[in-house]
Amino acid sequence: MKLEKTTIDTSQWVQEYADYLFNFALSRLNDEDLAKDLVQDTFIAGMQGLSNFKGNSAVKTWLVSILKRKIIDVWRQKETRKTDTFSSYFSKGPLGEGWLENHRPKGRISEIEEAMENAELKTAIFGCVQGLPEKYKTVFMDKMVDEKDSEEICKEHDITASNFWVIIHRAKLQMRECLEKTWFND
Amino acid sequence: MIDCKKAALLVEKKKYVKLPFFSVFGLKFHMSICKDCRHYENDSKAIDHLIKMVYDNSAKLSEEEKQKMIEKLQER
Ligand SMILES: [Zn+2]
Repeated sequence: MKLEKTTIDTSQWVQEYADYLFNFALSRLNDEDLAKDLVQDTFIAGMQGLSNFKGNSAVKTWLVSILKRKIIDVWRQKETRKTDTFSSYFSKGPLGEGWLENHRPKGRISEIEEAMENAELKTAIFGCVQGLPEKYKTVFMDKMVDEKDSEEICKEHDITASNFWVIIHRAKLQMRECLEKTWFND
Repeated sequence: MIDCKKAALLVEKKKYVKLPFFSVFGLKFHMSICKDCRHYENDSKAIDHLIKMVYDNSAKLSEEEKQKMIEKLQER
């Protein structure tokens, strides 16, 4: 390890990046203690891996990539079977693929917004996001929560643009249905 | 012809990219005849809004927690 690199001030890291990393982890795990632990672990891994840090990306980006891997590990541990139910939303008819009878959107989700202050709603939303398959979840969160550039997300996940849109589309369908089912109990 | 599956995809896509003219036109036409997809679009927008509200990224660690982190890092 080159000595000069270890002189990076890690306490500065905490001041600069801890809140960002904490929010990043919290939004993906919905567990404060776990999020804190992972942020700490990320800084430790960052220090230890300092010699691998090429300096061609921003420190923040680099730390986020470490944190992301840790979050995915947690997801994998928790993963109960998550299936992509996409194929069952539509069926082929004379006019192409139409909504299946029991999956037709009812346009009721906006009614939920009024219950926003309700803690149960937050739990429902977190639960539905957690229920997405891993790959959808990372892409969906990057786009919807972090509002990252689509091209950047494609590069990071090594997917094509059309693949990206299909993932967003499927994640959204699943989210919609999950919210409707959870909130309106049907 | 744009069917419901394609329409739902375009509804997502058009929030972020400019659709080619024929898609805009096809989607408009489909929406004018399909209530389910109009509902879908409303739901989709509502979800975007809900997510923005829930995930506001405004949580902060206290100074004390940050100090603890720094100490743990310096132990190493
Ligand atoms: Zn339709």
